Amino acid sequence: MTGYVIRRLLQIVPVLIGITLVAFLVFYFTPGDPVALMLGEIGTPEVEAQLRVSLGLDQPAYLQYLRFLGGLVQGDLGTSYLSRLPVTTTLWPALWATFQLTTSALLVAILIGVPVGVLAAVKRARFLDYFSMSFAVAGVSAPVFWTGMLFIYLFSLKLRWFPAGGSESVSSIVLPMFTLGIFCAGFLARMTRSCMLEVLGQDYIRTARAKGLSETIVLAKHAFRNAAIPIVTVVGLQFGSLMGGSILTETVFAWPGIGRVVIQAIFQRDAPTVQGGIVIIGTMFSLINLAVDLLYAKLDPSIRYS
Amino acid sequence: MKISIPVRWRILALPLLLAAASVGFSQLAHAQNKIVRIAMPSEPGTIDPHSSVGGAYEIMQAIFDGLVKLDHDLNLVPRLAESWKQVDDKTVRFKLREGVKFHSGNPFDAEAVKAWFDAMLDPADPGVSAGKLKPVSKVVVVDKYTVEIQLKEAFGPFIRSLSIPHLVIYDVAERKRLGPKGFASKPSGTGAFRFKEWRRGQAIVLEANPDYREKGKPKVDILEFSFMPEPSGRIAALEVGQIDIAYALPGHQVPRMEAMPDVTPLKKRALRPIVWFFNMRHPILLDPAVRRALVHAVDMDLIGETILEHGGKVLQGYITQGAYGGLEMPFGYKPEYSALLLAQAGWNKNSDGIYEKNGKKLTLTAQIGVDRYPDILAVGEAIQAQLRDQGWDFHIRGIEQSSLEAGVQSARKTPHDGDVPPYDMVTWGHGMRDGQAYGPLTTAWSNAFGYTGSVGHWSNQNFDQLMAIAVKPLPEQLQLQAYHDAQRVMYAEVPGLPLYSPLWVRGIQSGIEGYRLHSAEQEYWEDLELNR
Repeated sequence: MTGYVIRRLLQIVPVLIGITLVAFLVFYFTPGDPVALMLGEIGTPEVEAQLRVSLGLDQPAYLQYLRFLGGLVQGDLGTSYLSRLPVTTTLWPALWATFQLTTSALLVAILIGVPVGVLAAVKRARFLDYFSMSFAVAGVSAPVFWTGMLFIYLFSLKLRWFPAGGSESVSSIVLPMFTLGIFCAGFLARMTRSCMLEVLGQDYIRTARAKGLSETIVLAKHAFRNAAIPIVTVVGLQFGSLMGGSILTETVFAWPGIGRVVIQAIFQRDAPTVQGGIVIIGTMFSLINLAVDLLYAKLDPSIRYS
Repeated sequence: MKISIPVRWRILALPLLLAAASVGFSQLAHAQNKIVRIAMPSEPGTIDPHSSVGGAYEIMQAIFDGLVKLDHDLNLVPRLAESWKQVDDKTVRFKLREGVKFHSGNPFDAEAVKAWFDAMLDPADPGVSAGKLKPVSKVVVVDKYTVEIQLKEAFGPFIRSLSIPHLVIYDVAERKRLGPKGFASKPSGTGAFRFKEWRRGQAIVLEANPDYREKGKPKVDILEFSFMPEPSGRIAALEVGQIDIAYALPGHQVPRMEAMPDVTPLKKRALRPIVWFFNMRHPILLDPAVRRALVHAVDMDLIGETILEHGGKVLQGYITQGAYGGLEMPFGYKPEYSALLLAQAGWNKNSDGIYEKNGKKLTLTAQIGVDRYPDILAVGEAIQAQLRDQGWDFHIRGIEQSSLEAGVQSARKTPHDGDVPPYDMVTWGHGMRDGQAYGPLTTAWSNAFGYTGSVGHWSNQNFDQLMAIAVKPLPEQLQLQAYHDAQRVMYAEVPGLPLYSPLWVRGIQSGIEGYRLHSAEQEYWEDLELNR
């Protein structure tokens, strides 16, 4: 198992090199000189030249990239063109904010999506099934920015229960958490339903019932545990993609997450911040995938990693 | 009866209690202090004036002051300088205020001003706004509170240009002591507010400067700048009283704010003119008749009445009305004259009703930076529709403003006989933070700031000569004459289509007083009051 984990961790390295290289090349070939953009109407050729030297942009592309990789090896993600501070000054707090939002949204998604999915499977082809799946489809289909706006209108403007945005108080997380959570809950509910239906049709479930076990035990211990493996995969993938993909929710609710920071940096051509953000998001995604794979073994004793 | 609470519930309850207590304390602190909360669209990279490249001027002007400032009527008035005197064409002498201190406790005096000029113009690490100080040759300390600035050559707009927020004076000694990174985290100026904390991604917090030079000011304790990218989010936060001032709101939200009981919309027309510059290397646009035909084919007044109802005002010339040196000289909507000009230039309509010459259509594409100015895309679409109705094969291409600006800046650096810039027409807005026509006119000046070309690669000797005259320290009447004559040359040569100047809209909560929008995009915080 330890060997497997080490191998998987080592596999993350080429993945990160690949995505940073793509990000670097995309940035490099995108029209727009970051220095000209930074200085705008106050720029002069002399100041531009000096700034280009101080940011290292006077060097050939391959050297710029190698310098970034060299820094990465030493744990240095680079210095922001705009703030002239290490990009981690901005990225770590943003990562923490995104982590808070993502975990809480995922919790909401699990607490809503899994029971709804189980209920729909158990009450298959009945009103509760149709009702809960309609809810799931609505959750998946509604764009998060629309749900977010709706929540702001209802819970902030009309009922005045929660702040309209920001992250200054504890209650600020409630609306973005539910916006994102409901979106994921739809996926989870549909996934849980189909996994449960598949498992409930198995022989061992019939055997368990024939043994006289209560329906709760059959569902919880025999059915759900076996249905949980693909659900865990979906949760893991959702977690990974939310870490970098909650940008719309972060923007609508002014939540200071990493997606928002990276998008702002893209608009400002702040390449080091974008690359640093991509490295962090990529690493998180890879680590979460690894964690999900390891969790399989825990849930299904027949799975062995070597 | 004794109720027993399991340990795990107690552990779970502890963070909740702490969170509730922290919210309670923060609300208590809010009630005790006069805190004004401001929501801006984006977080600045830095608030160190040496390296700040925009997005932070509003905050910087609370922490730092310049030598002079523009009042709301665009008059140049003293700030850190008590007075100034033009000694000769190339020398200005500033008498500084006495007893002013930086937030660090360092004295503000002639040595500090000289140190600031030297730091900004340091060839090894120039300030990003050093270009604005390019005319400076030498700074001499005359006595503790008198400093003399000598220019390389006579340059009339110089004193006024010192009022722009890029040129606020920072505490050079403190920057040296802390280093650039340390100073960026704890900047020191002479402003009404001093830096308190920066919660990355959340807020920049400033507190009242107790040693501020004007007694009794500032009148609020805390300024808290938070960052909310979505305009709808800023409006909602304003409506529920979460913030006191919301920046950068779209004009169409004005009626909504007017309907809110505790919110007042503030509107101010910016001096910044937005012009569609023609690419003068484009084979079709090389012909002045086509350029003139285009400007007369567009009904900007109609666009102003419809699209810009809450979003700005149509320009009546290349410089916004009200700016120093601006000249009102509208082209006017004359479609028949436009058609006549095109016919004389050899353009005739084909069977599809599109103008053609030698088998080639009158095809033009205008680039629009869609994310900078309110209503710009709608204005572009309206112009496209008007021109198409009249037989032009006209297209607009919306691109991200930063890409557009970078393309234009890059094209300005290529020689006049270099490659054709990758646009036929391009929207360009130039700030006028010093309130004078000089800045926007440099976009048409072929040798401005060392660039080899104007925005549209227009080059006109008469215009360049008039600009060279206008920047001399002339008596006002002569200087205005030179500016006006330069604009008359533009009117005759038509290097672009003047569009509009945007309307800046903000919303404020009731109880906020002493807050005014400035047409030159300046921000003065010392008069702000909170009466609630």
